[in-house]
Amino acid sequence: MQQIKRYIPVFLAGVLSLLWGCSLNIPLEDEISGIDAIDNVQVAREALNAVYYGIPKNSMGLSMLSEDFLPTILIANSKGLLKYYRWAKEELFDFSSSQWNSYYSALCFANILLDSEQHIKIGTDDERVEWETIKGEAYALKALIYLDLLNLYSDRYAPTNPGIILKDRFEIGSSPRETADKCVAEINNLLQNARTMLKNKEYMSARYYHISYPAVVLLSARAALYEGDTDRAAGYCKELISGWGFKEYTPDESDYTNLWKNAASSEKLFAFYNDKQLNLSEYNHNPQLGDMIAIPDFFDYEPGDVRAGIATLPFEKKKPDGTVTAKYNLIGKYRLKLEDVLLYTNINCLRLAEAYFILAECQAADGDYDDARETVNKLLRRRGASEIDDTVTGEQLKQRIFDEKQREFVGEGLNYFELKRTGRKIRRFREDNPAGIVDISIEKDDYRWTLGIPLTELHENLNIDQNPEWQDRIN
Amino acid sequence: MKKAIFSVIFLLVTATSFGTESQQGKNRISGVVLSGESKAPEEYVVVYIADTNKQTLTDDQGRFSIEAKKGETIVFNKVGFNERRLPVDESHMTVYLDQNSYEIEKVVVKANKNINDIDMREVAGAITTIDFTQLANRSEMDMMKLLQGQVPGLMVTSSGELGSKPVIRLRGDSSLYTSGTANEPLFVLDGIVVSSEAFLAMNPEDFEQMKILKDAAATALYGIKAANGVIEITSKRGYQGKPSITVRAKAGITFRGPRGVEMMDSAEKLELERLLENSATPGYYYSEKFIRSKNPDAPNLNALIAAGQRALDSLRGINTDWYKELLRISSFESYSLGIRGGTEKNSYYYSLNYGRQGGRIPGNDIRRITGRVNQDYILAKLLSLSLNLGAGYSATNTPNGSDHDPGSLIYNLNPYERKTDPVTGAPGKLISYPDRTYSDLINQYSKFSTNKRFEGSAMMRWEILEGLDISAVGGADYLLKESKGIVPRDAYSQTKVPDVAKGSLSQEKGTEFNVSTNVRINYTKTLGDHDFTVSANSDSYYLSYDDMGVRGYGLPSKLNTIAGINQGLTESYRPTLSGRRHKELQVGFGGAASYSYNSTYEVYGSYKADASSLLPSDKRWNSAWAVGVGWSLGRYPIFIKAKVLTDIKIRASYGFTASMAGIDAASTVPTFNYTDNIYGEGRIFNLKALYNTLLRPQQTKSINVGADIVLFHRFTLGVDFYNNRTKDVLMDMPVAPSNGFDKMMKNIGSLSNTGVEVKLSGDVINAGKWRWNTSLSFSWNKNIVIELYGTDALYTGDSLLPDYEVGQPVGTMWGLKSLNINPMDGMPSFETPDGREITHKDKLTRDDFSVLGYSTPPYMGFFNNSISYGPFNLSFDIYFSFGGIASASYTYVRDTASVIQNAVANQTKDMWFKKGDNGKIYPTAFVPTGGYEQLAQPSTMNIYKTDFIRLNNIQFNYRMPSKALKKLGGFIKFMNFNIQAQSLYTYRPQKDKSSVMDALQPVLTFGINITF
Repeated sequence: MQQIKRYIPVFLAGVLSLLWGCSLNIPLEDEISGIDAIDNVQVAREALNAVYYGIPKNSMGLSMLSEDFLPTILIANSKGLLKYYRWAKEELFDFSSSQWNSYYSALCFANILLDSEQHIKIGTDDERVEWETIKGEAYALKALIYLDLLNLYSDRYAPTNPGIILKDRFEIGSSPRETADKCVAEINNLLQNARTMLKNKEYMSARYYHISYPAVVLLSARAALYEGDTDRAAGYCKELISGWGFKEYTPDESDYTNLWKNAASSEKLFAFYNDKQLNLSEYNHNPQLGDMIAIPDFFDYEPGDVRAGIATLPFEKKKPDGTVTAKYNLIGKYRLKLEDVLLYTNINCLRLAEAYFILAECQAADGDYDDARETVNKLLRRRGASEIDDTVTGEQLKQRIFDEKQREFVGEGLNYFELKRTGRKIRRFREDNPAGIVDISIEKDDYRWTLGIPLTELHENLNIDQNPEWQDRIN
Repeated sequence: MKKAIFSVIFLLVTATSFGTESQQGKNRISGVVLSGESKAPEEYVVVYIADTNKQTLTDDQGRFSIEAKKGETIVFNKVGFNERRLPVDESHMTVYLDQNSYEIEKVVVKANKNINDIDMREVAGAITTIDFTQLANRSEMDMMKLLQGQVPGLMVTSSGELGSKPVIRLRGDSSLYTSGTANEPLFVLDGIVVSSEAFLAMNPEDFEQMKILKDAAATALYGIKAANGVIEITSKRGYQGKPSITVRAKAGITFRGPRGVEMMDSAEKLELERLLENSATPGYYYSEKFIRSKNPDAPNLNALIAAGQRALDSLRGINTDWYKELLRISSFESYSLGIRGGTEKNSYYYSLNYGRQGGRIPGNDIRRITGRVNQDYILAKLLSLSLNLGAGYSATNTPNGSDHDPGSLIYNLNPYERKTDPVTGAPGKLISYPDRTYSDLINQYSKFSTNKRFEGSAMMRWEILEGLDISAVGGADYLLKESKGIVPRDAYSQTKVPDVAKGSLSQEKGTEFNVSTNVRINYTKTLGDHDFTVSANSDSYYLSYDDMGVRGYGLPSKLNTIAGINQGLTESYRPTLSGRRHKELQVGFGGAASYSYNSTYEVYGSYKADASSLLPSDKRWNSAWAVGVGWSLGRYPIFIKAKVLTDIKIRASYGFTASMAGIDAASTVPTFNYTDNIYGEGRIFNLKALYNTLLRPQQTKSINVGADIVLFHRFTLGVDFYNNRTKDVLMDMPVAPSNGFDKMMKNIGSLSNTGVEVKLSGDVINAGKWRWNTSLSFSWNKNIVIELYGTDALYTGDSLLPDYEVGQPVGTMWGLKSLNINPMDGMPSFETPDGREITHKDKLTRDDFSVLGYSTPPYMGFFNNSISYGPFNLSFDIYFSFGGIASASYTYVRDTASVIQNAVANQTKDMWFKKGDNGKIYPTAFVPTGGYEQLAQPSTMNIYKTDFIRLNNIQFNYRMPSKALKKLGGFIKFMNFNIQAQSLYTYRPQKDKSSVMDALQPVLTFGINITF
């Protein structure tokens, strides 16, 4: 018994230590819990980065649908890509699903950030200014998301068309689509807020990956043009050009080249920071054999145009014995030479040249052909291209402005939206025919111009209707 | 080496000759010691003749042999069992040992084991006990795979790759949330919770017994952690007696295993290429048709055609068997040393083991070293202490990466292709992989991973008063996981990478640390025929992990460590870090009580409440409870006298368990984190997942009714019926993506999991030297969706058919009824349930589908046998499963584009090529776009049965008789030789449809066990 007594304290100490009364309130180590997690401006900036990061960078995906590209014989290596090029509904539907989810995910992050205003502690003036800037950027990005979604999921603009789902705040629900005019009103409202909040923030060209006042002005012009409000669009463009326009209308190759590098350029108003390999390489099969896609001849630049050799790269297809079997241009831009296949370049979203084209289009629409011609010619002089001569007026001028805009923005995705907005048909070219031999055409009222709403959204959101004709074509 | 072989042969020869002699010895007593409860052989029973120094131990078959005179007393002693003393009168004895209960007067304290293993849960619980000493003899390094085909209702599915963790399920999936460890049972080693990874890497030879707890009555003591059942393992302990040293050695070869799919030879492959007309393939570009079309006006056309034929002939002459070229025969070895013994107050078990197994894919192998120290002390008359320490190291090499699988090359390389050109010796360009050579396909990736594990526990048990004892256990399990994956600079995937960034390294280090404690008080009181037991416990489980990883590029050819990473790279090639830290704690309090009358009627009840730090404080506490009754009829006179039905026990239990499988903080409360990505100079902070504030743990009510029937005193028939009804089943459900996320965890409905398990085991023959022990088991399981909240059918994706439907079993496979391939256009047509015929041109609707079968096989079973004659023993285990189907993907049925790679044998015969081709299996390769939708569906044409019967293990043993051992010097107590084969043969009625990597690798070994 004596022996046992000796062990009792040890035993009890053991038992008590086992019954540790540790609290169960163990905080997470890698994560932060609570809806008030975004509680200061530094974290708010990081939460805003999630919005920037989440917005799809779809320049190549959209360009494939436009007339920017024609397939080469190498496309046989990617059946799916060829089907997508030919607007196969299944491939478009897959594209739609990824776009929809990504845009709404980015929108959700923007709403979570804006909802956090009540939790954000603001002590100093600097913090107040920074929060205003963050909010301004968030509003601008929401407007950008809505405008892209409208372009993808709503028919050519008419006020009563079904628009898209608008989300004012972060909450789980089954929201219906608003009419297009309501969507446009919301976009204008957001842009108004963004302009107010960013106006006094100094524009820093080196911080081009954060949306700034001039970029928001250009986005406002783009939105106004979408709506068909040429006066407002022209007003924004004039404001932009007078404040941030080209200083000189002479060719500047390095400024243009910097557009496609991770460098500041006077033309670069807003580009997405990118740490992923550009999906350009998916379209490239082999540096020796060329890409799966090439650029039709009608986009050719004249000799002396700074864009030649940068925006497009000449390529000769050769037999083993050296005889040239085909010649065409391949897409350049982010790729400054053919051997560059792995690129991590920031992706342009809003650049100055667009303002000149929007302004010219608005001027031409008002019958102000001389001003319109001069606006485009300013840009062409900057590029080192020959100018449009005075004899070109009327519809011919309008077409020319459109063509020049397509040439300027080849491979950047914008052209698809332009083709849709202006109600043009899209030609699908045959493999290896840079001269543009047309296989099929997508007419201007083809249902595929408006993407189908993804099935998960339809299954889970009973307040939403599918776009016309998709219902019968996709299960 | 030669010397060693000779000595083994010598040993065998002498052993056999002495063996015959010893059987005639008059003073030798031999026999077998069996457990009174399980009728299984008991190893390491100390057998000694009273008042002499003659002593021996039983072997792994429970057999012993000792010299004794008539009239002497033979004593059988083993920790945990009541000692038996018998007079020597027969020369062969069968002795049953009963598990002991505490005897207050003796210094013998009940063996320390898992403190949750209290007798009362046996009253009603569905518990299967397996003797691990037998299983540990197998040539299998994976603890989980050993359990396959041993326990009714326990399913272990493993892939063919060595070192990958098998899927282990007890009575099927309890939840629909299938990722991670959500459906894994709880592993408990000597009362301490261990991770499934740690369990996997333990040395089977260190364990004595395993208990599989299946129903609520058995698992309720563990609370909510045990919602998927519990696997308890008990390590080997010392005993009172002279030390015995056991040395085991096993060595053998591992085979390639079944082919899986029979592929084409060169002649057929070239013919297929001709038929499919892909101009990149020699079968077509050397064909007459192609040559004619390319050179319509060539004057030497006939010569060109003849040259083409010659080229084809020479290709037909090459027949590379890539299965043999790419898979290898490798080796298996395992060596171990065990020492056990002790005194009255102190006993010990020490062991060391080294094992290595080579996989069939070059570059895949595992190695392992484990060690264990188990010490038991009797500190005072009523106080005992046990210490258990275990350590292990295991290393796995694999060439399989996320985008690199050398195993797939067997099916993709063409039979007319070669590793190198036989003339020039240079690797030529391949047809199957354009622009690549054979050397661009192998050595593209390698991964080396190690686990270092250390676990220790201490357990005390104190008999405070008569009938009242308190026991406590505390222990920790520490696991260090390290892995290093390398893509070499010269890998094909690196060709487009800039030189400074070629070669990549991904290195990870992670620790997992868990601490579990359990304190339990038991009080037992007997009043006449009434036995009462009450028990209360408090336990805790703390888990933390801390992982770190580095990925970098630009590895120089001579370095493959972090030191070789080029830290000057930016953007996508910048070195990246990853990390994960997590801590969680669960605490629980429980109570249990049982009452038994006359050992005939028994009632049992238990309750446990657990709290987890993972849940918000208002939902933190969840409970598990169970009640059970048992009725043992064996004491009734009718059974005592009976010859056939000699004992019967009926058990029934009902219980409730809440389960948190799959719930984490991010699924219940808003949780933000930083992603690995960056934007500009900043980090990215966002909401991790959509949270559901209404989320509840899923709750299972389970009923188990069982009977244990003893027939002829030697067969045990166990029958169990169970039904588990789970409500508030958790699942990641789709939500409208316009909310920003497309998944949210929800409680979706209720499931019913029903099953029957039958196992018959015992000695068919037990006469003289003959003993045939067999166990035959059969089980059936079915999961049915009972209710889905607010709907009849649940879609988790964009599919036409729901994933779950009320009234349908989980795993229902819907498909089309095939009307075969239309001989006119080569396209399949189908018949709908209402009798309409549809073709590829029709748009499919929900109504076109009917149920084809179930993907989870509902029937499983095993038939395990052990036949002994004197010193010889043959055992074989058969494992079978049937009733499941799968849909063949026809990956190796090639079309025009994919015909550059090898195809399944007979495709030229079975595919439709031209009008009038009748009775074909595969539709035309020239499929119009619209045909894809139908072709992708399971149909009566492409489904196959996944049934199989496998000879899991076959083993032949020879135990050297003791007389022979005596002649060898007498210092050897046992010597045993064995030959065994693992996974030797699998019969599948359906050929050419499964994947080769699902098949297990056969292992043939020769082993020797010696105990000194």
